[in-house]
Amino acid sequence: MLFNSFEFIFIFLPLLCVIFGFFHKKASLNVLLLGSFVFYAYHSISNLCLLISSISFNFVISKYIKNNKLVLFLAVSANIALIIYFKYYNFIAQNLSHILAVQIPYQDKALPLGISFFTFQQIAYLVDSYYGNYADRNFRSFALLVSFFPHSIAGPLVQYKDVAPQFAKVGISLENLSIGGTIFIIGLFKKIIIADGIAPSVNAIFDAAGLGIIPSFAESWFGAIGYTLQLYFDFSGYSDMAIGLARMFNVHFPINFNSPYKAASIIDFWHRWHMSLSKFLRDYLYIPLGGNRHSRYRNLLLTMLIGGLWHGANWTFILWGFLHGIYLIINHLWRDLLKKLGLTSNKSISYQVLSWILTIFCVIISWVLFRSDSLETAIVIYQSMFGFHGISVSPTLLDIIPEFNFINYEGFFKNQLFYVWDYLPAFVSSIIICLCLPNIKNLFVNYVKFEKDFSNFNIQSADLDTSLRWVPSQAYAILMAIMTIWIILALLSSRKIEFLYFNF
Amino acid sequence: MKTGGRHQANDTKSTSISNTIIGIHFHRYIRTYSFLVLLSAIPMLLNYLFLLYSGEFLSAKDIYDKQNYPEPHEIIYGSALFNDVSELKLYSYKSKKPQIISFGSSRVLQLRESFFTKPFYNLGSMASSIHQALDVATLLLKEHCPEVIICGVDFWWFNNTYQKPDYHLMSANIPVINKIDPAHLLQPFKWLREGIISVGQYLRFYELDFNPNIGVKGKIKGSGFSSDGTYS
Repeated sequence: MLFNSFEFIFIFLPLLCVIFGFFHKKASLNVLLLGSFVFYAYHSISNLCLLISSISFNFVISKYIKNNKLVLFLAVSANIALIIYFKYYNFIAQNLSHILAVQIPYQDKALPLGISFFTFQQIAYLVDSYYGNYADRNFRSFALLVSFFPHSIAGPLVQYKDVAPQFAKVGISLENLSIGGTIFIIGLFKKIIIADGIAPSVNAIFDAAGLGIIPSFAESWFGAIGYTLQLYFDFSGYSDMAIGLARMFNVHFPINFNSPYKAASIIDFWHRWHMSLSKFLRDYLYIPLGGNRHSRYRNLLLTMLIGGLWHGANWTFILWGFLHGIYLIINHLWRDLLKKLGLTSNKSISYQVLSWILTIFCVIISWVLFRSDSLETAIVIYQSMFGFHGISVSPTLLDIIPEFNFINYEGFFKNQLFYVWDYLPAFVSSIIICLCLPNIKNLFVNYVKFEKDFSNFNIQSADLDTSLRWVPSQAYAILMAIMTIWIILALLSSRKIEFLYFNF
Repeated sequence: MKTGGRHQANDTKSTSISNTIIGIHFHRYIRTYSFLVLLSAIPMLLNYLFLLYSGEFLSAKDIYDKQNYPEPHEIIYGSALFNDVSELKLYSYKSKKPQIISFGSSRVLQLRESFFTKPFYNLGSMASSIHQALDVATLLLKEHCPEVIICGVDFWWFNNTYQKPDYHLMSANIPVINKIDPAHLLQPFKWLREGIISVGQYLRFYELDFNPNIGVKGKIKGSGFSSDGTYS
């Protein structure tokens, strides 16, 4: 069941709210747990069995894990083995077949939905249990933490100690419904209107490149920037929906995206993009590897490589992770150099603008790898982006600048893969939204405890725009009603596009 | 002690008052929101039902099945929302695998199956330039190779300066026949205003189901594409 489907919005969610409201607090937790299982089983009942087995195994083993390295190693290995079996088996088999020149049989198994998320979620629990953080273990709370429908499929990743205590205070009220419902609608709008609005143009370019059609200079940049926007609105929209849905039941989830495209450095970008994954990788991978204490750059590169591989079993993801690892190393070296030279306080506007341009350029370049089905497709797009296939411009420019007659005048979008004017308004408005408008955290800072567990993150208070902060006013009610009608019309109009992060 | 107790009582009272005020705000917020959403839903729902009963939301496969099962019969598909029926024509072509086809601009649409003794399908109006014709032909031949292809081309296609402005690469992007745009849900209002449909026809949308044709044009005007791909 997708959050953007009719069955979820008009059947599952209202029904769950009504049933939840009927029961007493303790029983209502069972309703949430059962509802979450139904939500997951809607995709596949066999996968639900896998999820319940995984939860049971991890809960039982966590009882014997405290200060026992061997049990921890075995438990974490079992979880990783599960994810390797389902997600990476074919990738490993394919590469080994190629290297060893032997035929290793592939398996025809569908990837269980959200396996990357629920496995990581439980590894975090196991590691925390090893350090003895959880004395008050409760199976129902643990099972609900892992399977809770707002985040079971695509995050955000949360820690037991942050969310389990909140289960004691779950409840539905006008306040919870208003706040949670509004955040959900904003997330839905980001996904359905903006991300899905851009998606066909991006797909046309990447699919055409995959088929061997060479995109023009403008088309390749349109595709790369379009995907940059699509991915952000798709995934941050999903995260907002998850935060909103949890908030409807009075559960506060941490913010997952803090306007990442406003970042003026790659380090800053990773403090703003998929923050719950960044926190997980930092706490459970980077720091155990040695963190900043020794072999910092090796640890950084390894963490980003694994982060890349987590997103999918493809060399494009590994290279994407590697690229970001290199970016981060360069960024840290640059920072250290500035510190040595005593130039850290020099943050002029021009420096910040240049930093932002360089950062967003690097991010856009990396998303091409992330989106491409194969390295060949990525190379074709890169070649076009950097003019290796020539630069094609509009024929009308020939009249204006006749000196540039060496340029190809077949049109900016010479392959005519889509009607540019259909997508340009969504394209431009999405750039304005992600660069100029406040995000969920800015809007709802008074109503959701976003930063409870992210005190180490350097979220710049300059981002907080108080003038647009949400309040339960008539004006916001009208705005939300307009957005809802728009969403419903769009839902009626198009075929559902799955959330991009469902694939990871 | 007494004063402190009074202060505490006052604090509790003021907290309770502020909670009530907050509660009123949330109540008003939800009431306004729900009212507006429900209000706008009524006409949209009527429009949606009108389009649904007229068959505008049917997919290419559904239309093909209705036109051809249990055997090909005279059911017209005339959409008032979608001019480009390439998806339906391609689907029909793939399913029928005809031995003779006519292909090109809308000028070949007059060739009917009854003119031939072998299975025939009309793929007219799928191309409007030489580039598009080549693109569509490649796409068709990938699926099936007919014995005879009757090509209808317009002379201006061979003019170098002619470039159809809205041409898009067919093989990369075939327009989906029932991909409804939100704006489509407003179309019945436009048809009512222009007198294309009457208020009676609009309100008795459920009667549209009795007419076997598909689409608003098909049901109301009796015009559209037949099962052999011709337009009448």
